[in-house]
Amino acid sequence: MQYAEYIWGCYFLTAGFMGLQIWLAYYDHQRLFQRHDQ
Amino acid sequence: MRNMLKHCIKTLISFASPKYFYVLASRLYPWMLCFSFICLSIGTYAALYLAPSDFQQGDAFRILYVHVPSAFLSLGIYTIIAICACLYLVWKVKIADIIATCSASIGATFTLLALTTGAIWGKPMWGAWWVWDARLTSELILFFLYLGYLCLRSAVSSPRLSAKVCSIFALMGLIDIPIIHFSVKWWNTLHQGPTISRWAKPAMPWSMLWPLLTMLLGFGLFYISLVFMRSRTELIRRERQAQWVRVILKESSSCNMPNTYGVVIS
Repeated sequence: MQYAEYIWGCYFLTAGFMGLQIWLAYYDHQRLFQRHDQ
Repeated sequence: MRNMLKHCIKTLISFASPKYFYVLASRLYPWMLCFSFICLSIGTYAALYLAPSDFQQGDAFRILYVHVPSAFLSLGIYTIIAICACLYLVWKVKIADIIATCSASIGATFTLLALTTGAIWGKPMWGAWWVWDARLTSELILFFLYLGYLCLRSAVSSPRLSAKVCSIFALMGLIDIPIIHFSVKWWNTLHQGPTISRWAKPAMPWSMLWPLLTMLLGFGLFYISLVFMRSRTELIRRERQAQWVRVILKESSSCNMPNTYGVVIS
């Protein structure tokens, strides 16, 4: 595949951003409930 | 017919209630997330292995399968924020403000992603990471608009004033959306024109088009599921004094885990 490093770079970057968004949303929700429990 | 219309309007209004929206979001987001992952997996495989190489760009055009949906969402999310701003300013719909708040950070992420993947595509194709092209510059302005919106949210401490000021800011920034969309027509730009248009036949063959449509669907569903996830948290934070939120928090502390679905509607 031509320009493989550019292509894979883009796909991994996208996956990373998406994963980060899900983790942030989940972590925020968990933290809210933990704060309430304390 | 009139009864059906009345029923539809009543149903829509009921979903604007925070409690019903929480239930709807809690039930829908796992399914949406699941469908988005299926679409993204199929789309990624098709984009990388099934779609044929472009005769001019070679394999580098495969970057567009993540760049185009990101750019599409960056514009779409800002439009949704502006619609929500309008709904909040005119009818004071609380849910609209919550959706706008939750969408802003997601929109900023997708705009940054569109700019970055565009730069990575530009290096092998144009020989430069960045050019001060009309499309690129107006998209960069959109990113700053998102950042401005987020800064304004955290800068104003009063929730009502913050919602009002941010809604006005979002409506003012809406002018950038048609500028981005029509920039490739209005100015002589290096950025290529629209490949998929609502009014014309797509300028790409079906074998290249269907992975793009699958990715667009996957990105769209991912955005909706993220908004649902974030709005649940935001709803509990804002409505913590309401009886239904107290029930959820009580249930969660007795189970020692966050309540996901078990909301009882009286």
